Amino acid sequence: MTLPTIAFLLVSLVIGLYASRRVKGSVRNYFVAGHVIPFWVLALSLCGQALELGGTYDNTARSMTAGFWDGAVLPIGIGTSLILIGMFFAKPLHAMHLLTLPDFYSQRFNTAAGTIVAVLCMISSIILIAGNLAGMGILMEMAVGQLPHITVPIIAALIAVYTVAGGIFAVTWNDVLQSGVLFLGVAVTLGVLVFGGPAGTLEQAFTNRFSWDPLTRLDHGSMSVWAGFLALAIGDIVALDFMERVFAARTGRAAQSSCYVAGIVTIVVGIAMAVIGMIASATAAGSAEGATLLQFAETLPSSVKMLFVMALLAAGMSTIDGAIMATTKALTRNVLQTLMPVVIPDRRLLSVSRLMVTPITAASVLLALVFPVPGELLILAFDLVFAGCVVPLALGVYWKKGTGQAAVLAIVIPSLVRLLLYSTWDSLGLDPSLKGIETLIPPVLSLLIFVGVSVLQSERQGSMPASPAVGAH
Amino acid sequence: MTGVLDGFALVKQNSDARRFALLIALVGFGVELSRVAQTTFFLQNAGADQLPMVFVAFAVLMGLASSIYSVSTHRVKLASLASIACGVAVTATMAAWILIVIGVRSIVLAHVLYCVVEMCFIFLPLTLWAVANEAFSQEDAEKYLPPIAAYGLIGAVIGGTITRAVVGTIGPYNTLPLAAAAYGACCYYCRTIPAQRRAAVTKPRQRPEGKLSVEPIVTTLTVLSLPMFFLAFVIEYMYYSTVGEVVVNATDQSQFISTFGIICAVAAVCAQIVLTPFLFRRLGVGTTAFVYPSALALGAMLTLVYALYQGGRGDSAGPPSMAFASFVLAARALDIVLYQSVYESTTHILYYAVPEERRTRARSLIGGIMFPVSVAFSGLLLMSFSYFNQPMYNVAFAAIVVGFLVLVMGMDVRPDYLRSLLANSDETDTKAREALMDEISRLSLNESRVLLLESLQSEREDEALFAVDKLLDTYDRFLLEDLREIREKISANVLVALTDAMAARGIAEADRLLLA
Repeated sequence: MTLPTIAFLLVSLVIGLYASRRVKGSVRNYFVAGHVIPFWVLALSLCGQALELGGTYDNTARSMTAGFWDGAVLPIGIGTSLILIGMFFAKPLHAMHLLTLPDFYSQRFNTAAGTIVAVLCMISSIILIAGNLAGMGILMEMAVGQLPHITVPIIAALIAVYTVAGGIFAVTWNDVLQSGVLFLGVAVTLGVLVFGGPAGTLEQAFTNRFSWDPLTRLDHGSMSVWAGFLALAIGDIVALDFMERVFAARTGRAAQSSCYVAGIVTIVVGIAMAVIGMIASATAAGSAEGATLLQFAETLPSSVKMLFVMALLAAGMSTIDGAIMATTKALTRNVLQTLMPVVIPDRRLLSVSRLMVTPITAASVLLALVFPVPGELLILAFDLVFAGCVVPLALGVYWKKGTGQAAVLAIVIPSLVRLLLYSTWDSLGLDPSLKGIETLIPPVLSLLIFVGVSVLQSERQGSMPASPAVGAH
Repeated sequence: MTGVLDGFALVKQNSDARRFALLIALVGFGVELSRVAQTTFFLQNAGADQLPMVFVAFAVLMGLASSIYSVSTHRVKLASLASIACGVAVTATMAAWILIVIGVRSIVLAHVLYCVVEMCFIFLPLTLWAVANEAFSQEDAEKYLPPIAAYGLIGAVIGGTITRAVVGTIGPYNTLPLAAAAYGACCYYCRTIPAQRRAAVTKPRQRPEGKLSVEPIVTTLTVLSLPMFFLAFVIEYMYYSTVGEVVVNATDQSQFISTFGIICAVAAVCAQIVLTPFLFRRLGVGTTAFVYPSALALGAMLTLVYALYQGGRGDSAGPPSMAFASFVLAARALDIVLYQSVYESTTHILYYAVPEERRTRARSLIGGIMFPVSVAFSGLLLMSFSYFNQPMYNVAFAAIVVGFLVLVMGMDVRPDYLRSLLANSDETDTKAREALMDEISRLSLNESRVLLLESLQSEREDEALFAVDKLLDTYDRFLLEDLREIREKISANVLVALTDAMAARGIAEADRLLLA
């Protein structure tokens, strides 16, 4: 599998370096591709970003060991968030010509809100990058036989190089390759397993691993499944990497349509991956005690195994580059430039942004090597964003009475509550079937705080004009 | 369809166009006649696994011939050079046939014959198109070149049909003298081309003459050609390997190849007279240039289906299934049909965005250097795959990955074509301006802004002033932000013209002061 892996990595690098000729020293080109990314590239790019190793590898592994809904909830949730972005946010946010998502909070509320959102999103993105790098380390060990501490820094460096060179152009154009390889790998693997396996495998797989109970019965963990779904479906609306692509679209309509297409494709591909996991559970290799997905993959025909592993590598890479890009943008523009406007004037924004790729990548590599299974941290990171950032975004777009102070409080307090619940949940001694409810409480709190404080402030200020809602444009 | 018939009628009315149509048709006819002999002889005497080696040999020969051609263009008229090239083709084809007739059956001859036919396929049309480009203005080129290209395909259809009919009787190799006769006729007709040189629409101006890289479209086409031709040759390699496995007998092989050739040529004619004009009308030239790279990427995926099928079969399994082999045939057909129709017509027009002097050099660069380099690169890479015992599906996967690279690079053709048009046309060039406006009208607001903002920073004042006019048609606060970002890079005169134009359009003084 060495040759396909090298070819894949090399071509990714070439695409990234080639894309650098489009940047032409412009921040707008580097950050949002001058808003010229066509619909189909954007749709593929959003798919690549949405289908990270959680939605593919974890999804398949969980479907194999625990059941369909345990795995499929990940891509279904992420796909739904893309559809929601398309329905409610793509057009109004694209019309604002933003460079980063925290810019929205800065422009609509105040710079403090923008900076806090940027920090929260950065933390979640770094954990996301680390999680995907760790997963790629494991896959690379299978593909080229080298240990993660060798391959993870190499892959991270390669991605960083092309991201620095080509910015969002490099990231989205590489997503065309990476999504293509991902779809191909999934289609071939599923096709071979369904049509090439022994008769009755699919039926056996559904008998073993599919049931509606995880959606309807608390004792089967329905609270956890729904909480996971809502955290992804609503929490990912605030995903920096999704939004940077929305801003890069040619038109608001293109942004909207590509979100719909990407959402649907993400759900379909995610379900296909979950079905692969279920079929794996019905095979001898997959049903053995303690069997892992990679052990099952070893039993596939070598050509199919190669495509399956390449698909997973592509899923990881497409997410890592987008997340690196989005994180460095938020760090540079919404944190560093806000705190040190004299040190980083607009003309230095591009060079500082490029410079920041190194520390962000290095931090992610370190986390990936020191803490290679960041699953729980990843959930917490997205929960934090879900807890505080979604309500101010949604109401900021569609409700004109929201105020800056309300936004800051609605971001900070629920996020702290979420952290508190994370650290004390086990000691509360609640029924295990309620596991997941701690994810759903903070956003409700955020809504109450935002609306409450905004209404109170607007009553106190009486006749003072409120800032307009973006959706009214 | 009426437009197509009009195109043929136009060719009939113009003596130059008629002459070129005949020449191109004869080359198509000759190549198709000799291709069956070439492929059959190669598969029978060398085998498909020797293809990487012959790719490298062909690249070396092509590089050599291109160098000679490039040097000769400064000393000899292009029409004379085309005549000489046809003469060499006659000699080489006849020599190969005589060797075959006297019973030589060596790997070396298989390699030589392969190279001769491929050289004729690439080099003869290249030299003839160079003469045609010199003879026609852009306006005439758009009228005459697509139907002339269609005549070439009709020649190929006739050649393929004759081969299919006679190969069972005279054997697969005796079509070579017929091909030589066609090249001989070409040689004669080349000598009747009158010396003429018409003014090109695009004019070389202030840019330095020495650098081709200043032309964005040339840079893009040059860079794109490397992975694109690599992909085409990997598909060709897969095609020959598949044919060698599916059809074993020499006569069956030649009949199969000639039938396939006819189908492709007919499809190419149809594509040339229906699809190409439709795409030009519907998408514009820039976007149509994306069709062939996309087809190659799709072709790479099709070859993977067959490679996966082959990978799943045991070594001792019988001949492969025709159903799966048809995926490779489809990939090859996509390559041939769209290369000979859409791609060739599109690139001819794309070149008109650059001044004539650079156009000729750009053609030589891509045809004479990049093409052989890609072929050699393909050959060496395929040889290394073979050395490391890589299964076919790994090769196909590598091709798919390169296919995506080609897709990505292909996306640059349209904006770079526009950049070159913007940089090389002025208001006296009505035709170039029309093409420019047609392409700009197909762009989204943001896309056109990116290009026009670049033009605003141009050293050429008339280009910048054109951009001022077009940009202000869509003035809003985001454009003002963009203008402020590049203000320092705009020349003083253009900046004054910009603020004056803003004032004339009633744009607020506060906005104008931000740029002053």
